[in-house]
Amino acid sequence: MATPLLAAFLFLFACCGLARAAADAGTDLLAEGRALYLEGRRTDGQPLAAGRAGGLAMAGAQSACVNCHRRSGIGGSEGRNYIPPITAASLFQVMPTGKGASPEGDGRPAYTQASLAHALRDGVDPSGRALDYLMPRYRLTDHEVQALAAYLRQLPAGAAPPADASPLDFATVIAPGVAPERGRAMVDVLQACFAEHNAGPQPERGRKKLAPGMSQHEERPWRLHVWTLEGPQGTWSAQLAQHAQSQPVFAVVGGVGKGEWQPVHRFCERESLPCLFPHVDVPVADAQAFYPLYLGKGVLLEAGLIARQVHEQSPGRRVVQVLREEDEAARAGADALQAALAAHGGATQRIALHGTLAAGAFAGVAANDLLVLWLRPADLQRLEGIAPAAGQAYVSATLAESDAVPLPTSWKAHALMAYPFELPQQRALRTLPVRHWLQAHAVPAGDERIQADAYVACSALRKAMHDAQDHLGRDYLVERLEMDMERTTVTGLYPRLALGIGQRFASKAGYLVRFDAAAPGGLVPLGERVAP
Amino acid sequence: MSSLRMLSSLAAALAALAMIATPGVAHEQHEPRHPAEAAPGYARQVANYRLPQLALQRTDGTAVKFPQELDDGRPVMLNFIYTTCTAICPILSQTFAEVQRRLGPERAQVHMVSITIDPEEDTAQEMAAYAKRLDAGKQWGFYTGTLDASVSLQKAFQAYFGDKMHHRPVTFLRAAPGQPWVRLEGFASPDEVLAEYHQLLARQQH
Repeated sequence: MATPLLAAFLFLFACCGLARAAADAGTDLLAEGRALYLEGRRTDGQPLAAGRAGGLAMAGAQSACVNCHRRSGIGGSEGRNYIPPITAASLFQVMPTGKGASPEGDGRPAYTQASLAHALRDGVDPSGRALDYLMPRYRLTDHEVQALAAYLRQLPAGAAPPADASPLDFATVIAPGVAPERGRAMVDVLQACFAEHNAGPQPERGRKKLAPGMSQHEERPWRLHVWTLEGPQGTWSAQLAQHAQSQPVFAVVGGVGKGEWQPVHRFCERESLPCLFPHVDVPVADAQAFYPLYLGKGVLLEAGLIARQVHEQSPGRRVVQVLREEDEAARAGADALQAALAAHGGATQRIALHGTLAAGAFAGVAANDLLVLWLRPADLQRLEGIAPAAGQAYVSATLAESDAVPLPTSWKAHALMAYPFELPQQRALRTLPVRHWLQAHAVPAGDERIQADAYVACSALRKAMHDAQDHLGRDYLVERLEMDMERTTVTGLYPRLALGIGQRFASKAGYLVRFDAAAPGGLVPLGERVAP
Repeated sequence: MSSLRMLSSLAAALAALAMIATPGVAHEQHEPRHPAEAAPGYARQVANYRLPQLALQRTDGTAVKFPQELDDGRPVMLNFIYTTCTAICPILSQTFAEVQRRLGPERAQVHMVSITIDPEEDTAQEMAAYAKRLDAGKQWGFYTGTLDASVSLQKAFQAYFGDKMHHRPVTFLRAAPGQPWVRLEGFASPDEVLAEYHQLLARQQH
């Protein structure tokens, strides 16, 4: 009696073991496929090698599928070159006939592992057609083809929300320390923008009859959730996770930070959550990250602009940076400037302010020094009554928080401002549609910079969501923004916005300006707009 | 559909007429040499371009004057690229790298020039890193500058296609200052670029 039971038990045990082994093998296979696809790394750790027509050889990251077919697997286009999708739905299904020749193949049979191997190694698709010139020929083992197929079978990467008419959820993040009216300025614009989206396309509303063959696309309504963070940075990650768990969202749009944004940046990347264009003083420069995108470089660009000017105009002069160490944005700017100058052998010194700013703070500053004031309005104001401590000073437009810099006239005469935005006069023209839009949507005028950034973020989201709707997924949303941002006319504070594959800052250039009360906008550029 | 096709063939015929009518521009269509490799071939033109006076930056950050930078007496091979481009530019750049390799010591006789069409992203440091990845020799210069300067130069070479996502592969060769440019539109392989280059030098010597 006990023997058959034991045998059955042993059998079950063996089965479970086998199933687990199979599951492990599947996981391994997927990981191997992922390494091939994303990094061009072979199963044995060696770089993936490939050749192209014309005798060109490639290896490793250069030859990884992701370069052209992208993370989503949906591909895209460059110039006149079309990069076809290699998602599960496009590869492992028969392509319909009679739709004309296309890169996916007219009536092409579904790929099998053998035909996939043939395509990858010899550049011939299952219907016998040669693949495009751009497609490399890969040296892969059968096992590696199997691993790659396992990875391709789960593309498009980046979870798409369920395709129904239920509302799509988005969040915006307000960091601690942000003045309530600044947080509100962001949320008001986003809410008005969402309301406009939800109202549907204006010219189509009220249309009674559509032309034959015309169908009106109903966009899904959107909902905005405001994630307000509290307390020290160390706790943000858990707070964000809590918010995301109780209300999952498709993407984060806009947001306002003061100082560090790292925890939000890391959360977005870890959770594969597109985090689009927050208004922050210090964006996170992180070449590895995919999901967080920023409009400008904030104080990081300003540090570059100052470093370039110092290096070109006054090499060797001592640079003294004045800041409050507890102001993270100021510290990030000073660190970036110090690093940029050090690269040319330049030395910097720091004056850390404590308590109320007074003349004594500048005791060690010589007339020939270059003084960089990483200070906010409250401190700039206190320079009234203090004689300019050096012949040349620099201030940060980001930390000044608006163009109305409360720097005393005596200081302004010797000061330059690092200015990552479009010059005031031209900007007034660019932001005119934004101001009209705010009026039309009864949004009270608030902080110009936050409102403009919020408007640009939401407009970019609307455009990209619309363009991506046929393949909607988080990865593809980011890819559309990378490709399409350059064509936007909604640029807000900036003269031009552009991304590209792997580019994470839409505006990379800025001016150095001097103060001139007689000039339009009170600011005069020192030279051309440059990307340092 | 058929009217569209008719229109497009009409447009092609008109374009061909316009090309014939353009003085000083010669055209040849090069068929791929190895059909099995599905090489798309390239179109060859000889043309004169009036280049504007402007300043660009080398990878070390020094400013240089164009077109004087091109007029050092050596033959020039020139292309437009950007460093975050993943489909077209890697082929253009690899082709130049392969040409450089095959030229061997002869490479010092030629001036290879790659100009970014995305100068705000491709700062001098970025271009330097890109050049390093390609193992570019001293004869191969990489240039950035203001967006306006880059666009003016692309327009002068009739190689401006709007934003960078629309760019196309074009390679320019010139035997010497004052000589016309040979324009190779399409993916010319290293063999083909070298053949064009040697042909150009041979003509120059006669």
